Amino acid sequence: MTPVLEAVHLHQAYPLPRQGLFERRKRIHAVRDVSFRVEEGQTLGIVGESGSGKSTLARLLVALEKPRSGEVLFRGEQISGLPERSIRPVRPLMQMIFQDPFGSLDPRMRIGESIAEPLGVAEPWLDAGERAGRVAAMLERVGLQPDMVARYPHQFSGGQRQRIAIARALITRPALLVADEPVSALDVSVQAQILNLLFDLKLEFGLSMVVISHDLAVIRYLCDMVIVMEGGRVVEQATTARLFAAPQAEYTRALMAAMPLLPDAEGDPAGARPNPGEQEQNASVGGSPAQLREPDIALNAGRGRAGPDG
Amino acid sequence: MLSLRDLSVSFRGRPVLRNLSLDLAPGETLGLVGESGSGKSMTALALMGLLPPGFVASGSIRLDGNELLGLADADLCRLRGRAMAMIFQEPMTALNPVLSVGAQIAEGLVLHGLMAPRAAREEAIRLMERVGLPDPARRARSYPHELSGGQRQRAMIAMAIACRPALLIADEPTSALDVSLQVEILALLREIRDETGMAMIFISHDLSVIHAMADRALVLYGGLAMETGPTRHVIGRPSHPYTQGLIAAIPRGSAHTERLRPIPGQVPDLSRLPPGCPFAGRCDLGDARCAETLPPLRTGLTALHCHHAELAPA
Repeated sequence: MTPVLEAVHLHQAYPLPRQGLFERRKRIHAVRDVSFRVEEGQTLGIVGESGSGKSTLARLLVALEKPRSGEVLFRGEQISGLPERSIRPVRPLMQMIFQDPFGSLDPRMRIGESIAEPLGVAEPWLDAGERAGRVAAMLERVGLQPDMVARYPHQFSGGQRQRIAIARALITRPALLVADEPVSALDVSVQAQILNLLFDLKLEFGLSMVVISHDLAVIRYLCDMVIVMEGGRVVEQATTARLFAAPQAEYTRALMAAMPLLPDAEGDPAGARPNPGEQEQNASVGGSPAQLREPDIALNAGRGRAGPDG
Repeated sequence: MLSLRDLSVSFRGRPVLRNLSLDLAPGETLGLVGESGSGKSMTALALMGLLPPGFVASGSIRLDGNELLGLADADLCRLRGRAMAMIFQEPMTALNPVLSVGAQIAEGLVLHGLMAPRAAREEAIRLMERVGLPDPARRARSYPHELSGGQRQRAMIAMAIACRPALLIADEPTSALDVSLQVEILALLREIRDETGMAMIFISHDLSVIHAMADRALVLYGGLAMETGPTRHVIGRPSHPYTQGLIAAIPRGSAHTERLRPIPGQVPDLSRLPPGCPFAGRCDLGDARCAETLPPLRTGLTALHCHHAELAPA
């Protein structure tokens, strides 16, 4: 079966300011030789620290940027590097949500209009009544009251605004949703509501998703496959289960070691943590960044204090 | 060393922090955990005497036996930086952009009359070395914008510990940093605490960070201390329905096998809090009494404000 989304040797670079008159213009390579596929109904996670190229990759995937080289295929058709005119018919099928929905919702537009806007492009033949019906149904589906259509974004809380952004993204019934840090700005108690909602909608709409997050717990919760990025490169690619059970790349191990975990019950460390012994043995392998030298300190010390004698 | 009794903060007659009491010993770390609008940062600002205009504090804050509430600004200035210091989430907004990093670290030492300017400059370089800034002698002449986010947070820490304060308040010090840097900064703060014996109030929305840092945890919600006690009990065996809900809402596995149990509803707007328990509207156990009357403090394995919770035996 054709994958929903495929990246083939994607490469993106941005020029840096010239250092001197006769010097060659240097480039920063934000994404280097990235290839993967997302199958129908699958969720792919992209993890990495800031500057690892996650967000650049996301913009390449939904054709908001043209790659320097390589291709993005959506349902087998190349969408990268095409003129906007050729991409437009596909856009309603690939939607994106962001960390801060306040930034992506027009503050002067009633949320009903914001949610209906993509329909004007995707299904211009709908009449006003049909559009309003679709908006009301979508609002209800994301857990908001349909009579909220006349309100403005500032009248909602952060969690509600993310629900509105999700409604706007899904109103065109896309095949692919790219979510860039969808819950990072939300409080813990609200974050869980949005995570459940995203997972339910994925099943209900048969969505394929790409979820970008620095939070490994969020990735583990939502994703079937994960790619780990460092400095624009993919350093590891695996199923979520395998990645968390046996991370291979040095960088992945360091990230996981640094991931703060809560104890499951009093004194018991939470599961899914890589074997620390194994980690130490491999400490000399590969180019681990300097800041990851002592990945264990915070957590082990915390854990020690949580022990029964603590 | 630090002792709060019924500390309350209000804005235009509306409470944003209610009846907070706590004690802190030298070398001890208290973790203040809460969601947005819980009153965490208001507590910190009240302690530092830095409440924004319009906010009024009442109750008692005693540091080494001295009452801080109601002190004149000049007296507070003598304490800030010297007896107590604070580090913030975003060092770029807390550092002075037009003053070199070394000068800012040295400033407190000179202002508090601890050192002559020349000695303070040398001490600043030593402090920068202590917090792990590379090439401190050169870095001391750098300006904040020339440092990376992690380096700026290190510079903030150097500034905060320069006068060896007895109390350090850290308000979300690692929330803006990448996870690997977070680990380093937490480790640094722990080392410095253990070296200097200072007490620390560590504020975070992240229970796992609190778990890694604090001896005792205090869970704030809507300006009220919901539950407090040894961190391992608060996180490992919480009794308060809010703490339980907060912990159950954190993802630990895959959505395919484990469904999250979110707390229904939204974090309440501080201007619309009920007179009773702020969590009443979202709580499974909440009833009319909860919304009407402030729950009393009850003590078991942990101490909590709740009408209904079953206490784990101490």
